[in-house]
Amino acid sequence: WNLYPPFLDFITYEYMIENVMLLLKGTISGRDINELMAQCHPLGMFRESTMRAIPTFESSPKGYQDLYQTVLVDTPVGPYFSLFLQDSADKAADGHIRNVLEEVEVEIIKSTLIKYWLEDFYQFCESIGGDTFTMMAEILRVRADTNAINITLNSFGTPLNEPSMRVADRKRLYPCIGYLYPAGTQMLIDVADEEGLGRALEFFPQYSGIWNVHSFGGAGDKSIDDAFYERDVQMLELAFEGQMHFGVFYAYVKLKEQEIRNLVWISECILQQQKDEINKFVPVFSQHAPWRLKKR
Amino acid sequence: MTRWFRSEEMEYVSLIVNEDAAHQCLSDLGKLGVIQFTDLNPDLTPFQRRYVSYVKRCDELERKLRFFANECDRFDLTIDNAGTVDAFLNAPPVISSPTNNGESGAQLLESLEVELEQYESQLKDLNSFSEKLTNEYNEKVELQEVLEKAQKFFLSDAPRLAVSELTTQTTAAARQDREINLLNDPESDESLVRDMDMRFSSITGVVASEEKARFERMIFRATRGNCYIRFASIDEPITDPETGELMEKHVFIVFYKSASIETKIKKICDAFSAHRYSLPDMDDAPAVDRMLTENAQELADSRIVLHKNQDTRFRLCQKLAAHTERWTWIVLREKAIYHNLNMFKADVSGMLRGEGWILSQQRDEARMTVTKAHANMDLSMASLLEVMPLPWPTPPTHFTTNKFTYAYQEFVNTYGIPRYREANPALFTAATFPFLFGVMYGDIGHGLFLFVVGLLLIFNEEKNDNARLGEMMGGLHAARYMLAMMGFFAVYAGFLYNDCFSLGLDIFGRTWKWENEDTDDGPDDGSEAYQLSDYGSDDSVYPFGLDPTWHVAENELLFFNSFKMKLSVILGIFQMFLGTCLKGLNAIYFDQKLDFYYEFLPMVAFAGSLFVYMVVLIFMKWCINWNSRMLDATCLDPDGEGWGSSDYEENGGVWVVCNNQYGEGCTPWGYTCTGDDDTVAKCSLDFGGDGDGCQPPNLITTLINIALDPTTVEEPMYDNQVTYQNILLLVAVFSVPILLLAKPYFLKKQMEEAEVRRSQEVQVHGDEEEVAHATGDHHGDEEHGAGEIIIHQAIETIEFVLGMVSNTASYLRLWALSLAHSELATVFWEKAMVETLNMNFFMAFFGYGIFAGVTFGVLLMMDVLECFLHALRLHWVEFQNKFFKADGVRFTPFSFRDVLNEAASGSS
Repeated sequence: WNLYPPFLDFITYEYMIENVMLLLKGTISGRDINELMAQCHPLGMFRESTMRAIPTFESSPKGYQDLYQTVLVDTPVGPYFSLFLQDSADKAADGHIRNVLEEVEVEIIKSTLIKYWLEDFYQFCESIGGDTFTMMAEILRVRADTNAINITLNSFGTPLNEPSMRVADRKRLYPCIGYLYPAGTQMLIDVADEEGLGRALEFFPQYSGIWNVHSFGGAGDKSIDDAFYERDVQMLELAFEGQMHFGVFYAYVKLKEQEIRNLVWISECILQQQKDEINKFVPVFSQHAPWRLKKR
Repeated sequence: MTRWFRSEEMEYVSLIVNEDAAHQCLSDLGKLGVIQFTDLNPDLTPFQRRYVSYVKRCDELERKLRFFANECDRFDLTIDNAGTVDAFLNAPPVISSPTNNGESGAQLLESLEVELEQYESQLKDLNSFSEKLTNEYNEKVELQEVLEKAQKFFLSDAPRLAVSELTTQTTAAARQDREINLLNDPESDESLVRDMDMRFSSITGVVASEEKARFERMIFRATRGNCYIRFASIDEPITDPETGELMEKHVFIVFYKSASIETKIKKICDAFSAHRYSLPDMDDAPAVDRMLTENAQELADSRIVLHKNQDTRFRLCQKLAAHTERWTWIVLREKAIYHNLNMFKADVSGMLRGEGWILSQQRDEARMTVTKAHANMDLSMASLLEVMPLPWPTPPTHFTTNKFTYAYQEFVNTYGIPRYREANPALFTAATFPFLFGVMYGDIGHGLFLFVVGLLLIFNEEKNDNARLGEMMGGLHAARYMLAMMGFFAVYAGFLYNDCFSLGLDIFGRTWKWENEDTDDGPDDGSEAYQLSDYGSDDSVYPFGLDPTWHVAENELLFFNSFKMKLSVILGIFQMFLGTCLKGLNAIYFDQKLDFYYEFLPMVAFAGSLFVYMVVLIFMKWCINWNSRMLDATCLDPDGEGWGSSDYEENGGVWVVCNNQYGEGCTPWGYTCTGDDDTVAKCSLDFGGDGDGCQPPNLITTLINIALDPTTVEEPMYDNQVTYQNILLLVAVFSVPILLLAKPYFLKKQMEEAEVRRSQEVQVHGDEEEVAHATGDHHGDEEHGAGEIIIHQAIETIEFVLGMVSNTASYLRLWALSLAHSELATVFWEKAMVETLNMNFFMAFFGYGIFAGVTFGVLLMMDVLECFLHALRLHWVEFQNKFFKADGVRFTPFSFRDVLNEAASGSS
């Protein structure tokens, strides 16, 4: 009984991180705080005063330090932020010079926080043990791998892909859990382009399939995101239908998220008069899902 | 009676009305509430329909009315009741100024729109004005508080603190000193202070109390402790201008040194939406005083304005509260009309056509209403309301209910709506449900409580009818007659069991007496009771119910269990047999010969030969004078006690003279006993078996042996019992295959005949290809159909045959619950009451509390619910599965009364 409230809290931390990042990013582009707060994910809400205080800090290492010390230290995501600060302090001590663009900076912070959250969540599930761990370990590992691959993929063409940054910064973003860790992530560090990424993923059958969807893009009309989502939905459906574990709650939230994504997709299609594309969403608990049709 | 037994007859009609008169017609028909329109435009989305703009306008009006209701709520004004729905419907549609009936529909809506629009804008203006005023007022109040608090602070606390603060500006090491100074000796170093005239900047403002701690912490962190902050609470809570709620607030003052800290603090103030107020120079006392008085003056002024505004709003809301419900009803009615008009199709020029189900009896009335509406508007085009052939096979089911049958009908409807015109179980449920409840709940005392509650509800009927009741109370109100009936039957069964709070009542004088009852000691354990008058005589029978002596007898449970068990089986079999007969009635009514001959009759045969026979045996055993029969097989001494007892004569026996040859005695009919006679030899009846008729049988063994050992009956009750039972067994056994096979066989035959006829017809017309096609097609269908029919019939058969057995057992819950009830009551009485009564006055006082509480909670609440549920189950499952199809469609007529009542119950 004492375990499930923290489990539910853990689910919300992800959204809290996202909200903090949204607020930070929003202030860089100089948007109105009220407008930003309306966009925040309701599961990751802080107190109003906390949210209003976040954008008052400047986006510099000093500013983040202040942000943590005055505001975020009180919030559940504070520990992750402090880890991040520690991390960047270490790096600064190493003598690396960072000249990353501000926008990318925010993305890096976000990836780092999410990484710490994933690892923390994973450890928490491990401490619960039982079916919860069996279910959540699978989900979180895949989530970590997905993040690692996406980070690598999105870094191409940004300063993050420069050889010096790869080892110093990109490496730090890869979560320390998942099927890719450690051998896979080691390979990912040296990857410089899509071709290299494909080669690295060949050793992992579960991801090479998804990667092929991407590299032969256009064949199945599917993006790599869709392929990941499809995989997630299958896993989450399993978790949701399972019994005697807390993973249902996580699965419920994530499946709802997918449903919302689907609705957004459909309304986008209607808005842009693209009725042919309308069926390209990832169905949840549907008899017509592609992976179910294939089986029959 | 027939109206309750079978649902109302329905007709499918088409209605053609002039477009101009359509609104009037529908508003009259809605008042009548007898017609259910079918959607003739199923392919159109709601937005493509004819009257969608009207519906939208109604929605907009509803939104406004909800807004009014919310505003009234903020002033704690309750929406006035607009009287009864009926009165509203019969009154002509008026808003506030009377309108003529010419084009009342659109006009009504329009004038209502204008009026509501006006009120809404008024209210909105007032609200925004009020928000502005409140803001201004709050600022004044806060400023006043800030000034007062600051003044106080600077006069009393500041000099003392300034001393300690100022001593410490040089090094970090000096911090310690400051702390010590602050604590120990603020007066010291005064000279030093004078020298260093150094000023701190300060920010003052107001922050919400609940944020105070976090605010303080954040400022401390942001400035790294390089500031000094003080709080003072504002006594009077301040109204939040947006929500109108009261908030506690605190005045704060922060002292700091550097400009960078100032920007930080200002940012934090903004984040906490804390108002900042700039203070005048505090050393300039007259300026401060001036500011205070000025502000006080302004405060008083704005308070007056604010109160005036509030007053105006309140009066407007009062006015709105008086009308809102009536307006809501008007809007709902108009909306219902346009919704239904949306189902109409445009016919030839200017006419609208609608179709729907109508109650046959009210058809003429509806026609007259429509004609009258047209005549009133002087429209030359005639309206039409004509019966059409049925478009689909099942018309909707509608029952006319009254306030007594309503609850029972809802009961049945909850399980399933009866098929159109099939036998309605509600009619029987109305009698059997409370009765079976009573059988389980049976207790005079507890039942009386229930009865009184029911009567109270009935007594307050009219008041409750018009009042808005909560969900719980509303349910009780709807079931008031049922509750009263349940209470009544519980009391009745309580008298039968002679059970009042688990005690027997000696009302008619008991017919038993204990052996040493009259001695000083009284009867003790092991005493026997004897009957006061002769066995079988009129005096020996307790006039109503059971003799109270049984309640103190040691074999109380044995006796009651036997009685209640038999009673439940008898009641159960009667009810199930009634259900089976209703199946027969349905078959006759719908003219389904196969069902009647091959389903109903075998079922009756099966149920009758085994289960009704069981009831017959039970009654027979009760009726036979076993004293006499057993005497018949008893060896007596002709000179001894008991010889010549009247018991034997009563049953037609004649005492025969007997010479006691062997000294063993002889039976009353003259058989001379030897040492080792068995009952067969001693009994004069000669019915066979071991008992030979003189032995009371064990009914369970007898019944089981009907099937297990058909050749003998161990303890018969009448002559030739074996033969009769074998015949009944044969009837039962043969009825099963008939039930299983006959109906599918005849159905198949009918289908084949139809097939032959059809193919003949086709051959006459002579299109070879078509024949091949047709036969091929139908062949497949038929195979499929026949298999399905057989499976269906097999299920039906198994369900009935096994069901009779298991359902009979299921009725034993009547006994089980009644036993549970009486045992619980006994335990509560003995443990809580009797034990404490024997201790002392004080304990008895407590004991009574416990007894009353537990009796109320467990017996009057939980046990009522439990018995209710079990009675419900007996009706839904055991009774209704014998005949009830429950696949009907509910008739939902277009009726304003329903629409408004639903809205009223939803809003409360």
